[in-house]
Amino acid sequence: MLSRLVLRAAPAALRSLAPPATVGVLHVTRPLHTTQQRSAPLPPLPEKGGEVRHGLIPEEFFQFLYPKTGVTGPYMLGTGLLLYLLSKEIYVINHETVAAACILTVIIYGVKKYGADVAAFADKLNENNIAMLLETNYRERLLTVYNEVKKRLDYQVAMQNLKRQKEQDHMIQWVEKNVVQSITPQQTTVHTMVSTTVADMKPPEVKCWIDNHEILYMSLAFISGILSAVLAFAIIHLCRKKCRRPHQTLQEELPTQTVTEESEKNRQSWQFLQELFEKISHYSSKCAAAERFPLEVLVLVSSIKTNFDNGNLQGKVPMYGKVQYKLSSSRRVGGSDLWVKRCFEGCTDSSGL
Amino acid sequence: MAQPPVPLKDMKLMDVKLGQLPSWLAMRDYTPGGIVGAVRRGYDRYYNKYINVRKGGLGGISMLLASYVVISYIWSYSHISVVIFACDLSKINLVYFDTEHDRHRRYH
Repeated sequence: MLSRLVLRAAPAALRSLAPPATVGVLHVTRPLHTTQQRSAPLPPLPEKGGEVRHGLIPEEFFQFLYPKTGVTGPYMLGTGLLLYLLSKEIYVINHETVAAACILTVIIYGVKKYGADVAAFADKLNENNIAMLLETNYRERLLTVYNEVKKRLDYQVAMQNLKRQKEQDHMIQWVEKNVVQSITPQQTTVHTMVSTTVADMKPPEVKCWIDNHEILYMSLAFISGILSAVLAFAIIHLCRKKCRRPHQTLQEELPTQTVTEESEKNRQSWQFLQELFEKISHYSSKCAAAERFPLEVLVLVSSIKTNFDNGNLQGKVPMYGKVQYKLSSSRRVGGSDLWVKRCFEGCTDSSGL
Repeated sequence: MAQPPVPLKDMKLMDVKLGQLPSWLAMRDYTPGGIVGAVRRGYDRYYNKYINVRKGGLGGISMLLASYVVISYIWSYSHISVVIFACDLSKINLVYFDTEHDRHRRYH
Protein backbone atom coordinates (compact mmCIF):
# COMPACT_ATOMS: atom_id res chain seq x y z
CA MET A 1 0.00 0.00 0.00
CA LEU A 2 2.81 2.33 0.79
CA SER A 3 4.42 1.50 -2.49
CA ARG A 4 1.55 3.02 -4.38
CA LEU A 5 2.25 6.30 -2.72
CA VAL A 6 5.91 5.86 -3.53
CA LEU A 7 5.07 5.18 -7.11
CA ARG A 8 3.39 8.52 -7.37
CA ALA A 9 6.86 9.99 -7.31
CA ALA A 10 7.66 8.15 -10.53
CA PRO A 11 5.81 10.67 -12.74
CA ALA A 12 8.23 13.29 -11.60
CA ALA A 13 10.95 11.23 -13.20
CA LEU A 14 8.94 11.03 -16.35
CA ARG A 15 8.63 14.79 -16.49
CA SER A 16 12.34 15.05 -16.78
CA LEU A 17 12.36 12.50 -19.54
CA ALA A 18 13.43 13.54 -23.08
CA PRO A 19 13.04 17.28 -22.95
CA PRO A 20 12.08 18.38 -26.42
CA ALA A 21 14.29 21.43 -26.09
CA THR A 22 17.19 19.60 -27.75
CA VAL A 23 16.00 21.00 -31.01
CA GLY A 24 19.24 22.66 -31.82
CA VAL A 25 21.11 19.40 -31.63
CA LEU A 26 19.00 17.70 -34.22
CA HIS A 27 20.16 19.75 -37.15
CA VAL A 28 22.62 17.14 -38.21
CA THR A 29 21.07 13.96 -39.44
CA ARG A 30 22.46 11.20 -37.38
CA PRO A 31 21.17 7.78 -36.60
CA LEU A 32 19.40 7.67 -33.28
CA HIS A 33 19.40 4.99 -30.64
CA THR A 34 22.44 3.24 -31.95
CA THR A 35 24.86 3.97 -29.14
CA GLN A 36 24.75 2.05 -25.95
CA GLN A 37 22.53 3.63 -23.37
CA ARG A 38 24.64 5.00 -20.60
CA SER A 39 21.92 4.85 -18.03
CA ALA A 40 19.70 1.92 -18.66
CA PRO A 41 16.06 2.33 -17.76
CA LEU A 42 15.21 1.14 -14.32
CA PRO A 43 14.24 -2.50 -14.02
CA PRO A 44 10.53 -2.74 -13.44
CA LEU A 45 9.42 -2.86 -9.86
CA PRO A 46 8.50 -6.26 -8.53
CA GLU A 47 4.82 -6.85 -8.56
CA LYS A 48 4.30 -7.94 -4.98
CA GLY A 49 6.38 -7.57 -1.88
CA GLY A 50 7.65 -10.26 0.37
CA GLU A 51 4.94 -12.44 1.80
CA VAL A 52 3.94 -11.65 5.31
CA ARG A 53 1.58 -13.82 7.25
CA HIS A 54 -0.92 -12.20 9.58
CA GLY A 55 0.73 -8.90 8.78
CA LEU A 56 3.49 -9.56 11.23
CA ILE A 57 5.65 -12.55 10.46
CA PRO A 58 7.46 -13.06 7.17
CA GLU A 59 6.71 -16.19 5.29
CA GLU A 60 10.34 -17.22 5.37
CA PHE A 61 10.00 -18.09 9.01
CA PHE A 62 7.25 -20.57 8.30
CA GLN A 63 9.25 -22.07 5.48
CA PHE A 64 12.25 -22.30 7.74
CA LEU A 65 10.37 -24.39 10.29
CA TYR A 66 8.33 -26.44 7.88
CA PRO A 67 10.81 -29.31 7.27
CA LYS A 68 11.11 -30.06 10.95
CA THR A 69 7.73 -29.25 12.41
CA GLY A 70 5.28 -29.15 9.58
CA VAL A 71 2.52 -26.66 9.14
CA THR A 72 1.54 -26.12 12.76
CA GLY A 73 5.06 -25.74 14.02
CA PRO A 74 5.30 -21.98 14.05
CA TYR A 75 1.87 -21.67 15.62
CA MET A 76 2.81 -24.02 18.44
CA LEU A 77 5.97 -22.05 18.93
CA GLY A 78 3.96 -18.87 19.09
CA THR A 79 1.50 -20.25 21.59
CA GLY A 80 4.23 -21.64 23.80
CA LEU A 81 6.11 -18.40 23.73
CA LEU A 82 3.01 -16.44 24.61
CA LEU A 83 2.17 -18.66 27.56
CA TYR A 84 5.73 -18.47 28.80
CA LEU A 85 5.75 -14.72 28.62
CA LEU A 86 2.46 -14.47 30.42
CA SER A 87 3.24 -16.95 33.12
CA LYS A 88 6.58 -15.52 33.98
CA GLU A 89 5.12 -12.07 33.65
CA ILE A 90 7.68 -11.00 31.21
CA TYR A 91 4.69 -9.54 29.47
CA VAL A 92 2.69 -7.79 32.17
CA ILE A 93 -1.04 -7.40 31.83
CA ASN A 94 -2.06 -3.96 32.89
CA HIS A 95 -4.10 -1.09 31.61
CA GLU A 96 -1.88 -0.74 28.59
CA THR A 97 -2.78 -4.22 27.49
CA VAL A 98 -6.42 -3.33 27.44
CA ALA A 99 -5.71 -0.16 25.51
CA ALA A 100 -3.54 -2.03 23.01
CA ALA A 101 -6.23 -4.66 22.54
CA CYS A 102 -8.87 -2.04 21.76
CA ILE A 103 -6.63 -0.20 19.36
CA LEU A 104 -5.60 -3.35 17.57
CA THR A 105 -9.19 -4.42 17.22
CA VAL A 106 -10.14 -1.19 15.60
CA ILE A 107 -7.15 -1.22 13.28
CA ILE A 108 -7.68 -4.77 12.15
CA TYR A 109 -11.34 -4.19 11.57
CA GLY A 110 -10.59 -1.11 9.50
CA VAL A 111 -7.95 -2.83 7.44
CA LYS A 112 -10.06 -5.85 6.76
CA LYS A 113 -13.03 -3.85 5.72
CA TYR A 114 -11.53 -1.00 3.73
CA GLY A 115 -8.12 -2.23 2.75
CA ALA A 116 -9.00 -3.44 -0.72
CA ASP A 117 -10.87 -0.24 -1.57
CA VAL A 118 -8.02 2.00 -0.56
CA ALA A 119 -5.60 -0.07 -2.57
CA ALA A 120 -7.77 0.13 -5.67
CA PHE A 121 -8.12 3.87 -5.26
CA ALA A 122 -4.38 4.40 -5.02
CA ASP A 123 -3.83 2.23 -8.06
CA LYS A 124 -6.32 4.22 -10.03
CA LEU A 125 -4.59 7.47 -9.15
CA ASN A 126 -1.24 6.14 -10.21
CA GLU A 127 -2.40 4.81 -13.47
CA ASN A 128 -4.10 7.98 -14.66
CA ASN A 129 -1.11 10.09 -13.95
CA ILE A 130 1.26 7.93 -15.90
CA ALA A 131 -1.00 7.64 -18.88
CA MET A 132 -1.44 11.37 -19.05
CA LEU A 133 2.25 12.00 -18.83
CA LEU A 134 3.04 9.47 -21.49
CA GLU A 135 0.53 11.10 -23.73
CA THR A 136 1.98 14.51 -23.08
CA ASN A 137 5.48 13.30 -23.73
CA TYR A 138 4.44 11.71 -26.98
CA ARG A 139 2.76 14.86 -28.14
CA GLU A 140 5.73 16.98 -27.26
CA ARG A 141 8.01 14.81 -29.28
CA LEU A 142 5.57 14.89 -32.16
CA LEU A 143 5.66 18.65 -32.05
CA THR A 144 9.43 18.60 -32.12
CA VAL A 145 9.43 16.44 -35.20
CA TYR A 146 6.92 18.70 -36.86
CA ASN A 147 9.01 21.78 -36.14
CA GLU A 148 12.16 20.23 -37.46
CA VAL A 149 10.57 19.12 -40.68
CA LYS A 150 8.97 22.50 -41.13
CA LYS A 151 12.32 24.19 -40.70
CA ARG A 152 13.90 22.05 -43.34
CA LEU A 153 11.09 22.71 -45.78
CA ASP A 154 11.21 26.41 -45.04
CA TYR A 155 14.87 26.38 -45.81
CA GLN A 156 14.25 24.83 -49.17
CA VAL A 157 11.53 27.34 -49.94
CA ALA A 158 13.75 30.24 -48.93
CA MET A 159 16.54 28.92 -51.10
CA GLN A 160 14.28 28.73 -54.11
CA ASN A 161 12.93 32.21 -53.53
CA LEU A 162 16.38 33.63 -53.15
CA LYS A 163 17.58 31.97 -56.30
CA ARG A 164 14.65 33.23 -58.31
CA GLN A 165 15.12 36.74 -56.92
CA LYS A 166 18.78 36.79 -57.78
CA GLU A 167 18.09 35.60 -61.27
CA GLN A 168 15.47 38.29 -61.72
CA ASP A 169 17.72 41.02 -60.46
CA HIS A 170 20.59 39.93 -62.57
CA MET A 171 18.46 39.71 -65.66
CA ILE A 172 16.99 43.15 -65.09
CA GLN A 173 20.42 44.62 -64.58
CA TRP A 174 21.77 42.97 -67.67
CA VAL A 175 18.87 44.10 -69.80
CA GLU A 176 19.11 47.65 -68.57
CA LYS A 177 22.81 47.76 -69.18
CA ASN A 178 22.45 46.54 -72.70
CA VAL A 179 19.64 48.92 -73.42
CA VAL A 180 21.61 51.83 -72.13
CA GLN A 181 24.60 50.78 -74.14
CA SER A 182 22.53 50.54 -77.27
CA ILE A 183 21.37 54.13 -76.85
CA THR A 184 23.97 56.58 -78.16
CA PRO A 185 26.02 58.38 -75.54
CA GLN A 186 24.66 61.82 -76.44
CA GLN A 187 21.14 60.77 -75.79
CA THR A 188 21.95 59.73 -72.25
CA THR A 189 22.91 63.22 -71.15
CA VAL A 190 19.79 65.08 -70.08
CA HIS A 191 20.09 68.79 -69.63
CA THR A 192 18.70 69.77 -66.30
CA MET A 193 19.53 73.39 -65.75
CA VAL A 194 17.04 75.49 -63.92
CA SER A 195 17.62 79.18 -63.59
CA THR A 196 16.98 80.66 -60.23
CA THR A 197 17.54 84.15 -58.97
CA VAL A 198 19.29 85.08 -55.81
CA ALA A 199 16.12 86.58 -54.40
CA ASP A 200 14.42 83.28 -54.71
CA MET A 201 16.89 81.66 -52.51
CA LYS A 202 15.38 81.63 -49.06
CA PRO A 203 17.47 81.14 -46.01
CA PRO A 204 17.71 77.50 -45.10
CA GLU A 205 15.09 76.68 -42.60
CA VAL A 206 17.20 74.44 -40.57
CA LYS A 207 15.46 73.87 -37.34
CA CYS A 208 17.85 74.36 -34.50
CA TRP A 209 17.85 71.21 -32.44
CA ILE A 210 18.63 73.12 -29.30
CA ASP A 211 16.95 76.24 -28.06
CA ASN A 212 18.56 79.26 -26.52
CA HIS A 213 16.93 78.42 -23.22
CA GLU A 214 18.23 74.89 -23.30
CA ILE A 215 21.76 76.05 -23.97
CA LEU A 216 21.57 78.31 -20.99
CA TYR A 217 20.25 75.62 -18.67
CA MET A 218 22.76 73.08 -19.80
CA SER A 219 25.67 75.41 -19.40
CA LEU A 220 24.44 76.37 -15.93
CA ALA A 221 24.15 72.72 -14.97
CA PHE A 222 27.62 71.98 -16.26
CA ILE A 223 29.23 74.84 -14.40
CA SER A 224 27.41 74.02 -11.19
CA GLY A 225 28.46 70.40 -11.50
CA ILE A 226 32.08 71.35 -11.88
CA LEU A 227 31.85 73.78 -8.98
CA SER A 228 30.25 71.21 -6.71
CA ALA A 229 32.89 68.65 -7.58
CA VAL A 230 35.62 71.16 -6.83
CA LEU A 231 33.88 72.02 -3.56
CA ALA A 232 33.66 68.37 -2.57
CA PHE A 233 37.33 67.79 -3.30
CA ALA A 234 38.31 70.89 -1.35
CA ILE A 235 36.30 69.72 1.66
CA ILE A 236 37.84 66.26 1.53
CA HIS A 237 41.32 67.72 1.21
CA LEU A 238 40.74 70.02 4.16
CA CYS A 239 39.47 67.17 6.27
CA ARG A 240 42.50 65.13 5.43
CA LYS A 241 44.75 68.01 6.25
CA LYS A 242 43.08 68.39 9.63
CA CYS A 243 43.73 64.76 10.38
CA ARG A 244 47.33 65.12 9.32
CA ARG A 245 48.03 68.15 11.54
CA PRO A 246 48.10 66.42 14.95
CA HIS A 247 50.57 63.89 13.57
CA GLN A 248 52.80 66.54 12.22
CA THR A 249 53.21 68.13 15.64
CA LEU A 250 55.12 65.03 16.72
CA GLN A 251 57.89 66.04 14.53
CA GLU A 252 58.41 69.15 16.61
CA GLU A 253 59.52 67.10 19.58
CA LEU A 254 62.62 65.64 18.04
CA PRO A 255 65.89 66.31 19.89
CA THR A 256 68.07 69.02 18.48
CA GLN A 257 71.63 68.29 17.43
CA THR A 258 74.72 70.29 16.94
CA VAL A 259 74.94 72.47 13.87
CA THR A 260 77.48 70.39 11.96
CA GLU A 261 75.66 67.21 12.69
CA GLU A 262 72.49 68.98 11.76
CA SER A 263 73.73 70.07 8.39
CA GLU A 264 75.25 66.68 7.72
CA LYS A 265 72.15 64.86 8.85
CA ASN A 266 69.95 67.27 6.95
CA ARG A 267 71.90 66.64 3.82
CA GLN A 268 71.66 62.90 4.38
CA SER A 269 68.02 62.95 5.20
CA TRP A 270 67.29 65.19 2.27
CA GLN A 271 69.06 62.72 0.05
CA PHE A 272 67.20 59.90 1.68
CA LEU A 273 63.87 61.63 1.25
CA GLN A 274 64.54 62.27 -2.34
CA GLU A 275 65.36 58.66 -2.92
CA LEU A 276 62.30 57.65 -0.98
CA PHE A 277 60.12 59.86 -3.05
CA GLU A 278 61.58 58.51 -6.23
CA LYS A 279 61.08 54.99 -5.07
CA ILE A 280 57.51 55.62 -4.11
CA SER A 281 56.65 57.17 -7.41
CA HIS A 282 58.52 54.39 -9.14
CA TYR A 283 56.58 51.73 -7.23
CA SER A 284 53.25 53.40 -7.57
CA SER A 285 53.66 53.74 -11.27
CA LYS A 286 54.72 50.16 -11.68
CA CYS A 287 52.14 48.43 -9.61
CA ALA A 288 48.59 47.58 -10.46
CA ALA A 289 45.94 50.04 -9.58
CA ALA A 290 44.71 48.00 -6.68
CA GLU A 291 48.08 48.10 -4.98
CA ARG A 292 48.74 51.70 -5.66
CA PHE A 293 50.26 53.66 -2.88
CA PRO A 294 47.43 55.10 -0.84
CA LEU A 295 46.82 58.73 -1.24
CA GLU A 296 47.57 59.57 2.37
CA VAL A 297 51.08 58.21 2.20
CA LEU A 298 51.86 60.21 -0.86
CA VAL A 299 50.39 63.27 0.74
CA LEU A 300 52.38 62.64 3.87
CA VAL A 301 55.66 62.17 2.10
CA SER A 302 55.06 65.18 -0.05
CA SER A 303 54.27 67.22 3.04
CA ILE A 304 57.53 66.07 4.60
CA LYS A 305 59.31 67.06 1.44
CA THR A 306 57.71 70.51 1.32
CA ASN A 307 58.46 71.02 5.01
CA PHE A 308 62.03 70.12 4.33
CA ASP A 309 62.18 72.46 1.39
CA ASN A 310 60.78 75.26 3.44
CA GLY A 311 63.36 74.64 6.06
CA ASN A 312 60.78 73.78 8.67
CA LEU A 313 62.72 70.71 9.52
CA GLN A 314 65.97 72.54 10.27
CA GLY A 315 67.37 70.86 13.25
CA LYS A 316 64.71 68.22 13.18
CA VAL A 317 65.85 65.07 11.48
CA PRO A 318 63.13 62.85 10.23
CA MET A 319 64.52 59.52 11.16
CA TYR A 320 63.32 56.37 9.60
CA GLY A 321 61.58 55.25 12.70
CA LYS A 322 59.66 58.47 13.13
CA VAL A 323 58.57 58.51 9.52
CA GLN A 324 57.39 54.97 9.76
CA TYR A 325 55.57 55.80 12.96
CA LYS A 326 53.82 58.64 11.30
CA LEU A 327 52.93 56.52 8.34
CA SER A 328 51.61 53.68 10.42
CA SER A 329 49.68 55.99 12.67
CA SER A 330 47.63 57.34 9.85
CA ARG A 331 44.45 55.48 9.82
CA ARG A 332 43.88 53.90 6.52
CA VAL A 333 47.37 53.03 5.51
CA GLY A 334 46.99 49.30 5.68
CA GLY A 335 50.08 47.55 4.40
CA SER A 336 51.81 50.71 3.42
CA ASP A 337 54.49 50.46 6.09
CA LEU A 338 55.62 47.35 4.27
CA TRP A 339 55.73 49.41 1.12
CA VAL A 340 57.74 52.09 2.87
CA LYS A 341 60.10 49.48 4.20
CA ARG A 342 60.61 48.13 0.72
CA CYS A 343 61.29 51.64 -0.53
CA PHE A 344 63.71 52.24 2.29
CA GLU A 345 65.57 49.05 1.57
CA GLY A 346 66.07 50.26 -1.95
CA CYS A 347 67.42 53.59 -0.82
CA THR A 348 70.96 54.17 0.30
CA ASP A 349 71.46 53.72 3.96
CA SER A 350 72.41 57.32 4.47
CA SER A 351 69.75 58.22 6.93
CA GLY A 352 71.95 57.15 9.74
CA LEU A 353 69.88 54.24 11.05
CA MET B 1 27.81 -28.81 -7.17
CA ALA B 2 31.13 -28.53 -5.48
CA GLN B 3 31.56 -24.95 -4.54
CA PRO B 4 35.02 -23.60 -4.04
CA PRO B 5 35.82 -23.07 -0.39
CA VAL B 6 34.67 -19.60 0.51
CA PRO B 7 36.77 -17.74 3.03
CA LEU B 8 35.07 -17.44 6.39
CA LYS B 9 34.57 -13.77 6.48
CA ASP B 10 32.74 -13.64 3.18
CA MET B 11 30.19 -16.26 4.05
CA LYS B 12 26.67 -15.24 4.73
CA LEU B 13 25.31 -15.67 8.18
CA MET B 14 22.96 -18.45 7.20
CA ASP B 15 25.81 -20.57 5.88
CA VAL B 16 27.99 -20.23 8.91
CA LYS B 17 28.07 -23.27 11.11
CA LEU B 18 27.40 -22.82 14.76
CA GLY B 19 30.91 -23.65 15.79
CA GLN B 20 32.35 -21.03 13.48
CA LEU B 21 30.05 -18.34 14.75
CA PRO B 22 32.38 -16.61 17.22
CA SER B 23 35.22 -16.42 14.73
CA TRP B 24 32.84 -15.19 12.07
CA LEU B 25 31.59 -12.49 14.37
CA ALA B 26 35.13 -11.48 15.20
CA MET B 27 36.00 -11.03 11.56
CA ARG B 28 33.21 -8.64 10.79
CA ASP B 29 33.93 -5.02 10.06
CA TYR B 30 33.26 -2.96 13.14
CA THR B 31 34.66 0.35 11.98
CA PRO B 32 32.15 3.21 11.83
CA GLY B 33 32.19 2.98 8.07
CA GLY B 34 31.54 -0.71 8.26
CA ILE B 35 28.66 -0.28 10.67
CA VAL B 36 27.11 2.42 8.55
CA GLY B 37 27.50 0.21 5.52
CA ALA B 38 25.84 -2.67 7.31
CA VAL B 39 22.93 -0.50 8.39
CA ARG B 40 22.52 0.79 4.88
CA ARG B 41 22.58 -2.68 3.43
CA GLY B 42 20.00 -3.87 5.88
CA TYR B 43 17.79 -0.91 5.16
CA ASP B 44 18.11 -1.43 1.44
CA ARG B 45 17.24 -5.09 1.70
CA TYR B 46 14.14 -4.46 3.77
CA TYR B 47 13.06 -1.53 1.66
CA ASN B 48 13.45 -3.30 -1.65
CA LYS B 49 11.72 -6.39 -0.44
CA TYR B 50 8.68 -5.00 1.30
CA ILE B 51 8.13 -1.38 0.36
CA ASN B 52 9.53 -0.64 -3.07
CA VAL B 53 7.04 -2.79 -4.95
CA ARG B 54 4.08 -2.16 -7.14
CA LYS B 55 1.40 -3.63 -4.96
CA GLY B 56 2.78 -3.37 -1.51
CA GLY B 57 0.81 -4.68 1.36
CA LEU B 58 0.28 -3.86 4.94
CA GLY B 59 3.09 -6.11 6.10
CA GLY B 60 5.79 -3.67 5.16
CA ILE B 61 5.07 -1.00 7.72
CA SER B 62 3.21 -3.17 10.20
CA MET B 63 6.36 -5.19 10.81
CA LEU B 64 8.26 -1.99 11.48
CA LEU B 65 5.63 -0.74 13.89
CA ALA B 66 5.41 -4.05 15.67
CA SER B 67 9.15 -4.18 16.14
CA TYR B 68 9.03 -0.61 17.44
CA VAL B 69 6.39 -1.61 19.96
CA VAL B 70 8.41 -4.59 21.10
CA ILE B 71 11.60 -2.61 21.49
CA SER B 72 9.91 0.13 23.46
CA TYR B 73 8.34 -2.49 25.70
CA ILE B 74 11.73 -4.01 26.34
CA TRP B 75 13.18 -0.62 27.20
CA SER B 76 10.41 0.21 29.59
CA TYR B 77 10.29 -3.22 31.18
CA SER B 78 12.22 -2.15 34.23
CA HIS B 79 9.53 0.39 35.00
CA ILE B 80 6.75 -2.10 34.65
CA SER B 81 8.32 -5.04 36.38
CA VAL B 82 8.08 -3.80 39.94
CA VAL B 83 5.55 -5.71 41.90
CA ILE B 84 2.19 -4.46 43.09
CA PHE B 85 2.05 -5.04 46.75
CA ALA B 86 -0.94 -6.70 48.27
CA CYS B 87 -3.50 -4.02 48.48
CA ASP B 88 -4.34 -3.04 51.96
CA LEU B 89 -7.17 -0.71 52.35
CA SER B 90 -4.72 1.72 53.85
CA LYS B 91 -2.34 1.39 50.95
CA ILE B 92 -4.84 1.73 48.15
CA ASN B 93 -4.25 5.42 47.85
CA LEU B 94 -0.52 4.93 47.56
CA VAL B 95 -0.80 2.25 44.95
CA TYR B 96 -3.39 3.98 42.83
CA PHE B 97 -1.11 6.74 41.64
CA ASP B 98 1.95 4.58 41.26
CA THR B 99 2.13 3.27 37.70
CA GLU B 100 5.40 1.50 38.17
CA HIS B 101 4.06 -1.36 40.15
CA ASP B 102 2.36 -3.44 37.54
CA ARG B 103 3.36 -7.01 37.99
CA HIS B 104 0.76 -9.04 39.77
CA ARG B 105 3.16 -11.38 41.56
CA ARG B 106 6.66 -11.05 42.70
CA TYR B 107 7.70 -14.61 42.14
CA HIS B 108 6.86 -16.74 39.20
